[in-house]
Amino acid sequence: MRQQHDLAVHYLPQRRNSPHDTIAGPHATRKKNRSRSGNASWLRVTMDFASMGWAIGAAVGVARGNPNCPVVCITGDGSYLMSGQEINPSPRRKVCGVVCVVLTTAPDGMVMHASAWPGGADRLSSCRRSTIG
Amino acid sequence: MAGRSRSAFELPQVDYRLMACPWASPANVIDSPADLDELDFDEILARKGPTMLDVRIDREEVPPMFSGSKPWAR
Repeated sequence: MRQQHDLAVHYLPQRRNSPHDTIAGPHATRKKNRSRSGNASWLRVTMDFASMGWAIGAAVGVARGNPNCPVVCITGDGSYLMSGQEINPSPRRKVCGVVCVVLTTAPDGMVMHASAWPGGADRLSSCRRSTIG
Repeated sequence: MAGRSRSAFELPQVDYRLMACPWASPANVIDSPADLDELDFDEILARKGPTMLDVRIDREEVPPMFSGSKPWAR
């Protein structure tokens, strides 16, 4: 199953006339950054490695801020293993429909593909240094 | 890798559907686009609390963030 393509083809067009928020982490396309689509829906996207795990907590926060608007969180399995427990306030606060879409590949696909890309290993090393300090 | 450090990327096999059990929340495993079509999104988006969708994607599917001509350009 192709991840972004199938989600875009099968999910987002169905909901384009219904107000909802979509929070996407590094697995989304680069060209759209916090763009508005359809009737009243937002697509908030962060990119690159610093954003891994960001989408989950952001989805719960957006749902708390606008409790009448369903929120869809699109994140990867690596990100969910990092920050998945941030979704805990969602059931406790009964916020409106946070749909957590976990794209499961078994390897951390973003790191795996980045390692194979020219210059990717150096970039990953620099990210690791900046994170660890 | 030309002597450069290699980042680990293998993850354990995890059933993310079961991670919704502590909240008694609905969860679905999506193996194909047809599985997505069968979901009632109106019901899912209307309910209070989280819903988990475990979407099994291809291992070799390259994230679009690497599909640009200069993915590491600043």
